[in-house]
Amino acid sequence: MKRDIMKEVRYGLRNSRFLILFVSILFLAISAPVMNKVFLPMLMKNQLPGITAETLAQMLDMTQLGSMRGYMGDVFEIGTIIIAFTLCGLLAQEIRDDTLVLPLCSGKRFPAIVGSKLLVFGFFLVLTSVIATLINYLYAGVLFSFDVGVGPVLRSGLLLGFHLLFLLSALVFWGAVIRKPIAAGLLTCATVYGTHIAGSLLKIDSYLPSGLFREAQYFSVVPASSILQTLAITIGFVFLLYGLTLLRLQGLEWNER
Amino acid sequence: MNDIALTKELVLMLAPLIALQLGMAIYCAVKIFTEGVENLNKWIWLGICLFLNLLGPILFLIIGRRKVPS
Repeated sequence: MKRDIMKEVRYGLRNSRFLILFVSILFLAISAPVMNKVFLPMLMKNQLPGITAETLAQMLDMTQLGSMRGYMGDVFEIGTIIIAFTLCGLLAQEIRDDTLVLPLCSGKRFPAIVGSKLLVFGFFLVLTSVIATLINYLYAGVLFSFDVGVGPVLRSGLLLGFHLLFLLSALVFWGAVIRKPIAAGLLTCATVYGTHIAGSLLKIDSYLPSGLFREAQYFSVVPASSILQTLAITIGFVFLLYGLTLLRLQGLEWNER
Repeated sequence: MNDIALTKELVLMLAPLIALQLGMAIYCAVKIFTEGVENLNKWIWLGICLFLNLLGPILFLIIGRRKVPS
């Protein structure tokens, strides 16, 4: 397992996957407060000449909290697409190129191969989302004022990270099912956006991974009572998708000689 | 017309974003000339990395970088 983990770390470094993910999420974390402070008010003033400062303040949430919520929205809308298409080849490409045969022939088993992918990239996504959320908090605080404590920010970063872990497990699952990287990326986006829409429409967010994202957006001092339940369900979904991925891989034909 | 005045304060606010974009562009330029490219010409990839804000370097790193045989 240790060797598999090292292999995934090397893959992430050599193909710049870690760099792409970190820079993209960091870019969203820094751009959200700037947009909220400078560009959105300027655009509104240009589009609606004669608008007063009070009306502008009512239309835009020009606070640290508003910027942080904007960042969370950006990560959900844009970050999902970037992560899905950056990591879409994680398993699908290996199946397509038949490179999974090599570790299989050397005695490795699917649980270790898939598990190491989820472990390395999952840990990296959780870490990145916590760091980026903290940077967003600090930059928004410098541009506006600090009106949120650091505790809720850390919690929101972690919840966002666990939501991204669900995205990663869906990506690995679709990669094993479809075996085409771009199609796996598209289906992962559909899964993540689909659970969010279903959760909002049917008001079952607390029973879906999208509930983590919703809770992360609130930055509330006292978390919702259902958050542990949502977290447990999300981890359950991750294990379910991991199990389904293994079942699918065991059902495939491999050219083991 | 949307006219945005480039003040010193605005440049300071944008400094982290400019640094991030510049860093990625330089990193990609080094990769383009040391490792080579795929799918498009070197100079086209360089242009994409320099002029497509953040998206260019990401596109290059995903589909433009020459894959080193393992």
